[in-house]
Order: sequence, then structure tokens, then C-alpha cells
Amino acid sequence: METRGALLIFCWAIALASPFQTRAEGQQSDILLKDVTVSLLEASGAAAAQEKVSGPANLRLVLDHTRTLKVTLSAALASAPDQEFRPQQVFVRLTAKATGGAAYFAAVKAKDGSLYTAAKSAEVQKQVGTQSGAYELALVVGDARTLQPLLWALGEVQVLHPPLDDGSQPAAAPYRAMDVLFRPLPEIVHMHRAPERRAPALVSLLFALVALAPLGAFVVLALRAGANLKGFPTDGAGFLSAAGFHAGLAAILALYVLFWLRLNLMQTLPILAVLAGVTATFGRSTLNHLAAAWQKQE
Amino acid sequence: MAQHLDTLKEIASSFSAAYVKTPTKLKILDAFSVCALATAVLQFVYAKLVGTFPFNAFLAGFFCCVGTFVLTLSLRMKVAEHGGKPTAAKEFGGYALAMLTLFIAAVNYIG
Repeated sequence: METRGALLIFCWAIALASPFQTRAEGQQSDILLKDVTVSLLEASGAAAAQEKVSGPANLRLVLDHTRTLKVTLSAALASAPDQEFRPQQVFVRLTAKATGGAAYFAAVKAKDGSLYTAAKSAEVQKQVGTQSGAYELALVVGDARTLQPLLWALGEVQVLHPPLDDGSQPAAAPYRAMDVLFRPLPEIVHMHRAPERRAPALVSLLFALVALAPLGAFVVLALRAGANLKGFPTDGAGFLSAAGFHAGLAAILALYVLFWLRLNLMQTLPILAVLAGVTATFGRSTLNHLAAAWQKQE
Repeated sequence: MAQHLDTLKEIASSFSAAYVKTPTKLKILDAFSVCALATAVLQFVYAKLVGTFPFNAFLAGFFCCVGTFVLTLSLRMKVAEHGGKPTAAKEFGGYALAMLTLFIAAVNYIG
């Protein structure tokens, strides 16, 4: 039951545990812990070692496969010391120094109303695999009634799994083959197409001029074909609207150049909407004037 | 062979003789579409000779020219329907709108 509870909150705790470290450093937590006892119990239930701590400590413990690491505590809120307070999240965390993998043990309520967690090496093995050696012991307490959670580093625990036939510790390996599947995959870094070697700037500029040449050729051809500006309206209102229309087109083209060089689409579109509206209005009045002129001719 | 050449010459001369009668406006549009096509061809030649590295820029430039060519031809067809009368001017509005849309798409794609 205890194990299942720990596993249920396991993922949640992983997500929460890392911000704890940074946030707890900044501001004092509202949570008060009393009667915090870290003890090592033999299989018979007798205490092999017992330490009372009143804050972050530097314990040195050895948790072999016959013993149980038990942490008991009771909690109160500094803002309401008389009220009964049972924190929503109380974990003992064992972090393997070699791999950073962490095993979490959720606290349960004892008969006398205090909280306790019990950690065995077999449980550690289920959560982080057969990694033996130095683990960092930490106590993590959080609750919705306080902004700052509490993190006490309590020292170091040597975790020893059941030894092999020759007395040595088993090699570090995942508890189940399936656990390998749920490790984070390597981060995917987007690959851009590698820029190819470009032609010298002179060649590009030369070709830019060559590509512009047809435009010059067009001007020559149009003039030879007899292009002129005699059709441009000369009377006041007609000239004004025709000039406005052409100025609007020129402004839109200039805006496109700006769009190419420095603006983005979201900046360009509102300006374009205004310019297009003005240009369309001028274009419409130009056509009105032209239509009046055609009617007069007929 | 000489006979074929003569036929070709005849076709060319009769074409140019007929083309002279084309209204000036249509001639200008023809010149513009030919120049747009020439620009497209030049860009293609550049891509073949030098490389297409910013491929989006090449595509934008090339298809902008081809689009201009097509739109100008459509305008020419519309103007030809008016038979050289000044009322053809009203077809220019749609042409301008289509060209501006083409250009903003091309500039957006140049990057």
C-alpha cells in the first residue's frame, strides 16, 4: 500500500522536486517540522541507529538489504501553530549520486498522528534500479497553504543491495527491461540545410544587373512602339485622382521593399490595408472621371 | 532547304507587316510580357550556372516573373476585347490588384 502510494505520486513529485530546490533557497517556508527522527531499523524492529535532526543535517548512514530507513516527523504551520496540520506532500527522497536517479517515499500517518516513511533497498531498486553506493537523503514537504515548500538535505546514505554470491554488489542496471523504454530520449536538435558556398559578390551583382536589363529593354521597346503620357488626365480633379492612384501604387511597392528589408508580415499588412484602401478609392474616382470624359467624346 | 528559308522569311515579314497595325497599347503590353519572360530565363540561366543556394529566393524570383508574364497576357486579352478604345483603362484595376498580390507573395517567399 505504502509502495503504491509512493509510485502513484512518483511522477508528480519528479515534476515538483526540482523547482523546490531553487524556490526553497529564496524565502523562508511557512512549514515547521518537529520531532524529525531518522532511524535505521533491523529486520527485528530494533533501532540500529537513531538521529534526531532539527534542520538540514549531514548524516552518514548505511542502508543494507536487511535494514529499513525510517523517517518520522510531525508538522505544523508557522502562521497557525495550534491547528492540526497534515502536509499534502511529504516525501523522503534518495538521489543516486552517480546517475541522478531518485527514489521517492511518501509519508503515511502513524497511529499517534505523526508521519513516517520507510525505505528499503528493495524499494530503491524498484525505482532506480540496482544502483548501489552513495545516495543523497532529502526530506521534501509541500502544501497548498504555503507558497514555499521545504527541502532539507539530511546527508548521505550508502545503499547496499543483496550481494551476489562472491559478496560484491550487483552492477547498476534498470529494475525492469521496460524501464529503459521510459528514459528521456536524446533531445532532437533541428537541422538546418547547410549553406552552400556562394558565388562571389561580384558575379551576383553582375547577374543582378543582367536580370534588370530586360526592364531597360522594355522602356526602349515601349518608347519605340510610341508610348507616351498624353492620356494622363490634365483637368484638376481628374489629375488629382489619377496622380493619387499612381502614388498609391508606388507607395505599396515601396512598402513591399520595406517588407523585404526590415518589416515582418504582421507589421506590413495593416499598412498595406490602409494604402490599398486609399489607392482603390483614388482608382475608382479616376475611372469615374475617365468615364465622364468618354461620354463627352461620344 | 532554300525553299524552307524563303517560307520562313515570308512568314516573318508578313507577321511584322501585320504586327505594325497592332494598337500601341497592345504593343507595349507585348513588350512588357516578353521582358518578364526574358528576366525569368535569365534567372534560370543564373541558377544553372552559379547554383540555387537560397532556393526559396530563386523560386520567388522565377515564379514572380512567370506570374507577371501570365497576368500581363490576360490583361492583353482583355484590352484586345476593347479594340483599342480608351475604355480598356478600366481593366487595369484588376491587373494592379493581381500583380500586387503576386508581389507580396513573392517578397514574402524571398525571405
